[in-house]
Amino acid sequence: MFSEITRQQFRRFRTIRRAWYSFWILLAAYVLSLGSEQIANDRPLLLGYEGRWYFPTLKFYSSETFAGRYRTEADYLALEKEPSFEQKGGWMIFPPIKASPLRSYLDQKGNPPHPPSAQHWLGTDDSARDVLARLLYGFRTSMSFALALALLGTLIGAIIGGVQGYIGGFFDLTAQRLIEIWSALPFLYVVILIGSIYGQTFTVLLLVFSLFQWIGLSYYMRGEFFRLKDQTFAQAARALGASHTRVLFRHILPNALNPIVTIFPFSLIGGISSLTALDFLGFGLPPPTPSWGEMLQQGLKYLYAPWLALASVLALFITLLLASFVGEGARAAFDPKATNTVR
Amino acid sequence: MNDQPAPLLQVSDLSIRFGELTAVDRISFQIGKGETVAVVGESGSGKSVTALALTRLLPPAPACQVTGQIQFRGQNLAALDDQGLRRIRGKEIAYIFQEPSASLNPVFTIGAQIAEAIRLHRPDVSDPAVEIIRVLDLVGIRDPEKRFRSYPHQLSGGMQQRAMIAMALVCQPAILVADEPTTALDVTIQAQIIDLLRELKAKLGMSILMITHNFGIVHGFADRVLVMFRGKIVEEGPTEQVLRHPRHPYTQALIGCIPRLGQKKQRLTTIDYSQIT
Amino acid sequence: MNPLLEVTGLKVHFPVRSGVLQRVTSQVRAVDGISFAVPEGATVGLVGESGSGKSTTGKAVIRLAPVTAGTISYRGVDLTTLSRAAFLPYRKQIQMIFQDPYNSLNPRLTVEAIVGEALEIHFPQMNRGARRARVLELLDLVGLEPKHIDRYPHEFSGGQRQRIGIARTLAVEPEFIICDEPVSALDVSVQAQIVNLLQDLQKRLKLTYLFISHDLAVVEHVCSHVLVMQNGQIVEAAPAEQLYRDPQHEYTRKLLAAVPAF
Repeated sequence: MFSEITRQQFRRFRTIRRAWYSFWILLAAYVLSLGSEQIANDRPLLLGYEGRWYFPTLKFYSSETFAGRYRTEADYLALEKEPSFEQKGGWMIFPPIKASPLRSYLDQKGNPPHPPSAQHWLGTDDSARDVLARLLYGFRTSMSFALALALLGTLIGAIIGGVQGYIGGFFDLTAQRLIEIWSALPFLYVVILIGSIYGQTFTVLLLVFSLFQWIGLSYYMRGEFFRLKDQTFAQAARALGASHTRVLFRHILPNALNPIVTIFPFSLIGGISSLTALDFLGFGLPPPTPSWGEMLQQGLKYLYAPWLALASVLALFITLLLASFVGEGARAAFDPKATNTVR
Repeated sequence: MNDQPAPLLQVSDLSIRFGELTAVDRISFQIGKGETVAVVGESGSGKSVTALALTRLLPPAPACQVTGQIQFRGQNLAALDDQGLRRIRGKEIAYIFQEPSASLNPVFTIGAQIAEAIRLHRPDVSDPAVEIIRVLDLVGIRDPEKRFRSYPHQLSGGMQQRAMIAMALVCQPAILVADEPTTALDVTIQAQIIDLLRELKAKLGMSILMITHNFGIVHGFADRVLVMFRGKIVEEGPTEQVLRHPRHPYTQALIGCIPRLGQKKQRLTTIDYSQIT
Repeated sequence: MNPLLEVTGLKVHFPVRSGVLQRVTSQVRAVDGISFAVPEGATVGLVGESGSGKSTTGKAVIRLAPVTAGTISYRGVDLTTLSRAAFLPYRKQIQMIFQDPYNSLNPRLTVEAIVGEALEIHFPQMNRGARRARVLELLDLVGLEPKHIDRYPHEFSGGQRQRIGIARTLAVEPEFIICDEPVSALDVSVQAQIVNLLQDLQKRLKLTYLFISHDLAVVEHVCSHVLVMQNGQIVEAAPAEQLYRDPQHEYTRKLLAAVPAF
């Protein structure tokens, strides 16, 4: 499946320590954040009551289940403190971060935003929500968005750029002019507009972003396909009688993948930054969705509560730094000039 | 040539290593004033890197290690610092390469590029334009006043090669190093360029070190031939002698497997490497 | 005897577009009206310098260059009139060996995939095992070893890569092969090996060659007939011995005189 050249490139990537470790750290952090509900939650992972086991992070239990009065979800933090609960042999195991990103913790001294304390390791924001929990959930949102965007953008860009480069001629010229017009659209306004019409949801934002994301890669792919279709081995394949499809997928595409791999980490960075910027301006994901951009905005507003700004800035900085290490390593490892062993 | 005035260039025990690979293994040779020496070999013989090593045009250590002595007019080039070498490169030892399109900057006219060479190495020249026209004429470019303003892509392959030779000659070098200068050219143009070099050699009295894989070119052109094989010089001698009576089995085999005009064979002989090492 | 390939009045013109609206201002007449025939079993040489149109002629026969005018008859059938689908079976009979051993093989495919591709296209009924066996046969035919089948192009020398290219060409079992400067990019000693290989294959497999080259000495050695091209036209055509002994056209004489001989 993977040619020797690709395997060689992966091996080289492994030797670039900075990139290799960054890659695994980011991957581990992302996979972990996928289970955010099990890491930061105001519901316990495991609850024992009257001899039975309950899994509040996975299932909905009304407060009636635990001798409460209402059919709404049980308030586990309050329940924990109730004497009757303990008497009935109740115990709870909470996730490591005992806070939900959406819940306002108004039971603290002073006004929000509250500084870091034992209950809230990074303090709270101006609605008294736990910063650390919001940071974690926000990471999941940002990374998922950026990943989906990068994948979508890559797919569209590769197809459009590839077809342009392969067909060439008049089609390519027209398409290129159309793309140039398209890329001149003020992308931010379009996002805001469409967001306000169709609602600012994850999907809508993703689709609108991906309408513009693919342009950069299409330039590279167009160039690569242009170059590759005139290579002798592509001509040889045609001389053998290979159909256009075969030449495209078997000969040209595998050799055109280099830009894709090297651009991908930078697309990710772009995606994270774009979403953060949009959230910062308030045109991104709607409140109360935990997002880094929103936290940044708060940080700016409440400079006297530096933990807000610091948390979001540091989180962003570290993530983007790690991603750029991966990108730098990918570029060095997958550099076609280094793998080309033509004498 | 033996106990005559000291040779212009004397290379002793030159070795060139790229990491584990030994490209050139302790070779020694010399070039006298006005002498044309040809280095013949196949790819991997080390002939090209030898030429580049003379003025340290190879990557620096640790990627590439060059050891040995390179005496030019009594000075050891290998021990010279960068500034000293820059005075030698282009002025005393000039190069022309196989691909003129790779060495000519496409965004400058050839007149401008030759002028740059003059500016660097011959500050005494008051009017570069006159000198450039003179040297373009010398290399046989017709209408030099017009061509002076041409860009490289406007010239044919042969003309580009002539322009490169002009650039090399304008500084009146003592040694011209030509690395496969005609390999990329058509056979008729090749003949013209070789004729040109022969003419210039006679007119200017300069020495030429010619790197090639083509035995035919050296005949009637080079005074002496060195045959390189896997980093070593396996045979050396006056051209006619090496061509007519090669002594080393590699030289014999190499000459033997070349198809010659007018000497059609049933089957070409190939080199049996087990016979050689 | 009917010739295997007969070319009549072949013209290959490439339009030159310039200006803002990219109008066709002139034509590059790569091949400007040539006619020749290749008898079965012969090796016909096509010599010329760069720009003579020799490579374009070869490409036109195998449909890698568009034909502006003229006919290309193979066993009596005019190939220029055939559609892409109708031409496909002819790709089994007419094949090409390319000049550049470093570029003519897809660097990401193994030798098995490269040589086997021809089998995949033209003999789809063969299963993987049968294909692999056939590829091994072909490798043996061109002087490579069985262990080479799973290696990648960059692990081979120029001469070996050219052998792989030849194996690929032979996979379809052609009878007519256009050799486009097959040895020009190789060292002299390797040239000799490949030339010998091509001659051996011709005898064993009863092949007909159109041998395109700029190297007159090699052409003299290999070809029975020689065509000399200049600026898109054939200036001289003669049996090899006659051409080299007593060239008629001025250009031929100039070419022969320019070959550095020793």
